[in-house]
Amino acid sequence: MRLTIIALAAFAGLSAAVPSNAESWDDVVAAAKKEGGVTVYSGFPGAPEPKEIFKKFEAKFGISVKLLEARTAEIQERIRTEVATNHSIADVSLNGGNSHYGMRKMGLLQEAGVLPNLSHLTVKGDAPDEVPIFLSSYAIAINTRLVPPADEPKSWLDITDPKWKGKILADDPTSPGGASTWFSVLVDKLGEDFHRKLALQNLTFSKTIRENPKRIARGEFPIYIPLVVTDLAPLDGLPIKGIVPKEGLPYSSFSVVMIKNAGHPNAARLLMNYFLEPESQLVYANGGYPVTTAGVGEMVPQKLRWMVDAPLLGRQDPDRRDANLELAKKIYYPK
Amino acid sequence: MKLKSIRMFGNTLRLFGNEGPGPTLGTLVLLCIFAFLAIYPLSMLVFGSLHSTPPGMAGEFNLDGYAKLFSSHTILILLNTLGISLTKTIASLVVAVMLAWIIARTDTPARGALEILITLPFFIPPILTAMAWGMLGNPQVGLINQIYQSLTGSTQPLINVYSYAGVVWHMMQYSTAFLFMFIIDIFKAIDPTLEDAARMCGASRIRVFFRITLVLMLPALSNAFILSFLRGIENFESPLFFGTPAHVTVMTTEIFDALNQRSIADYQYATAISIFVMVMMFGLVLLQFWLLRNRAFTTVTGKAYATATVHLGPWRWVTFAICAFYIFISFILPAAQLALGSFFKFFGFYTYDMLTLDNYSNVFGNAEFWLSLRNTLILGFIGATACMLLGSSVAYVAIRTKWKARRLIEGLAWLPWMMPGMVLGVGYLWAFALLPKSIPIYGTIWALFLAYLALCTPVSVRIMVSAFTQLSADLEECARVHGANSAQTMQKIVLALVWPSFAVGWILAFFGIMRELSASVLLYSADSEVTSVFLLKLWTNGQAEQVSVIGLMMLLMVLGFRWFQLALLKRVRA
Repeated sequence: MRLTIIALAAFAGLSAAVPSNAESWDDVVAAAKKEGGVTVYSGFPGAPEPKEIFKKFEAKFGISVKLLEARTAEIQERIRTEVATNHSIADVSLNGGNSHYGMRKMGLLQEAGVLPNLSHLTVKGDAPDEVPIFLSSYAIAINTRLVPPADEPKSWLDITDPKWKGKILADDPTSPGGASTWFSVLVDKLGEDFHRKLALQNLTFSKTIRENPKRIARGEFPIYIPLVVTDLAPLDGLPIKGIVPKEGLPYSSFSVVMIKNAGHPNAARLLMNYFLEPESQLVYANGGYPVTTAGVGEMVPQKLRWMVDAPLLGRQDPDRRDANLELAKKIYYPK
Repeated sequence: MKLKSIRMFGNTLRLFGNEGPGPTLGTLVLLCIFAFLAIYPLSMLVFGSLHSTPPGMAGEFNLDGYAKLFSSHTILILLNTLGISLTKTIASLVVAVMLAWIIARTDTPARGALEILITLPFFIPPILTAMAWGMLGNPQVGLINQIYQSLTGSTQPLINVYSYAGVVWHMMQYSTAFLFMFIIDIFKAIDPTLEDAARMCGASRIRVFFRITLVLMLPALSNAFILSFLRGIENFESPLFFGTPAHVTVMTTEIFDALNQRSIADYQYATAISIFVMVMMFGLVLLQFWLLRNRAFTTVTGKAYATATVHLGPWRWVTFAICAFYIFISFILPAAQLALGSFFKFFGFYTYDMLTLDNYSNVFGNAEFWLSLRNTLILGFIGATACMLLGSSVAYVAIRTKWKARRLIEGLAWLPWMMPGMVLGVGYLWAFALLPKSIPIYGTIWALFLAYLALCTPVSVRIMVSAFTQLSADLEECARVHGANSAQTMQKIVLALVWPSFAVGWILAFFGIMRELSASVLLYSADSEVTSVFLLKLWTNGQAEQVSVIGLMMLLMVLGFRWFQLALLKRVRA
């Protein structure tokens, strides 16, 4: 039976690895089916992709998936409280790598062991307990009516030009999230001076991140940084454009992890592995997200290809995140 | 030894009540309820403020959270918060009293319709009005500024909602409607005899209004003022939307930053700020108790009377215009933006090719929406009813009895309103999760019900305290003299007279539950999702247009509820 599965997987181009520990993956699948369900806590409220993947998973394995969504900090505190009080409901957390870094420091995670699809990963997780499933990259957004093609920034350095003074809307880099990743990566690649010059541009900070690209499209500001590139996908037809600077795009990785003392560990492992199946990865790629396994990006519709294929500049070093948040405060909120 | 124990127990009971077993039992029941609903979660937060880590994690007791309060940064934030809340409460109270007087005491045309419309802004989710005002009053492309610039040729904007004033303005839309609901029934209930007497003694109308009417309303006004002031301090959406870009930070955005904007949430600092705010607010409530002590404000007596109507002559059209203008800027403008936005693919892009009904079909075709609506309606109906019953009991005990612990009970019922919701939600999460597994509250719909009961009871207590304060005790005594038993007196006299306030309180509690997010998001389970969490998901996922559809649905519900309520009241009064 195991040989049959390996042969089928190889035939499908998956080249599934056999778990290195004593148990076979068949045993994991059987145990997962016996558990009958798995609960996922997600820090992406309302995102359609996980629901689509869970539907496919339920149809394939007959295991029900319960999804609970809230903002990252709320998810983190619920998981922490559940683990601390031995009231565990969550089996899997779907969240940003930085969030999982915090959970790991608090001892809330456990390793999921060997998963067959880990061998397909092209991006490494921060730790062995983490399975990266997609990436999010950060670009520049411009209003095409307010920024003529000749004036479009080509480099991150171009937005420090004084002609943009008072005309840039920005996500706040002093808070964890996309903007702090963007800040940290550009400190590493362009130096602190870049941010010091940018701070002289009198940026207008707004914390309503999903609303910001629409504000640009409405013409409130000509430029927005940093744009989560996938936020452009639903704004098709509006006067807004994503610019990929020549240096490339900072990015974050998003992952799934197993919660300590998960009540359904086998179903959790099966689901985590399923996130790396081509059919799951394609769900993310179709939303414009760069994915973490090879061979899926080519299947993405042409108009989203730039989002998936844009050159990546680097990601934040989680160990330096707090120091960079402080640095951002010093630069953008000088006393 | 045994005798000594019995005596001690007896002394303890006497501390709670000295009028026999009924009051003692009642006191104990109410104290137990509030010990569980208020003191237990708050004690979790006190622990959080004194411990370097949240409950369940290794750490140490220290005062680091409180030490951070004593910095120029935090003091500035505190002053900002108090300044904004005080400004908006005073401004809202003035407008609300004026509107309530026009509707309740004058012959202004269409008062019934105006009364409903004035209250509507309270029921629109603040995120939606913030979005609408972001488009109406932003300095670059805001509609109002564009009209102003095209009319005057000016290059400067007329208004900028991203400012201190913008925060106050946005908060005022809720607080004015809230205060209006609080005040109007009191205006209607005031016996005009005292005012007539003053008039007969030669006092002018204005003098009567300020020296008689307003003074009689002092308990209700001070209650309303304090509630509104507290809500102002706890307001989050307005400073987040309009304050952040203008670098205006208040307590709630500071708490939000401490919980959501750090690599590891700083619960010690967030809870320390909240405890500090709570102590401050508690002081304010005590001050109110002290100011109103031993003063009578009874206006509803056994004597028959009809509410006095001031005949304004042609001036009634001026008062009508004032109400209409208020409704236009506080409700019609933002609601029209919402209605418009719900029929277009993108908010703010109103071209023919963007017209769509997809927002409606996406909402109504979403099974999650119906599940969350069902849960919310069940919780809303049961929760609001339970809140009003509990709140009425507390108010009755506080106003109508001489129980020794009555002030303590009333004070305990206040507690949940003195704590910013964001932090209080965490208190409930910790409290319910720490219960033994044999008390299965965490992860069930009971967790939401209990949190809602605690969060909405303070407003029901305040409303019913105002109602009972104005009700003369003679009425009950009279009923008893004429042979009515306690139940009959309660039903035929007390409930019949406080019913309008009860109905207003029920609606406030019902929609309070519908809108509550801070505790809901931390306590809901995959099977007990509620509408506010569903809205959060849509909003976070950038689907503001679908949020508008739900906002409009909520408005229709309010219209239905208010119409039904006012029609019912008319029948009762007839």
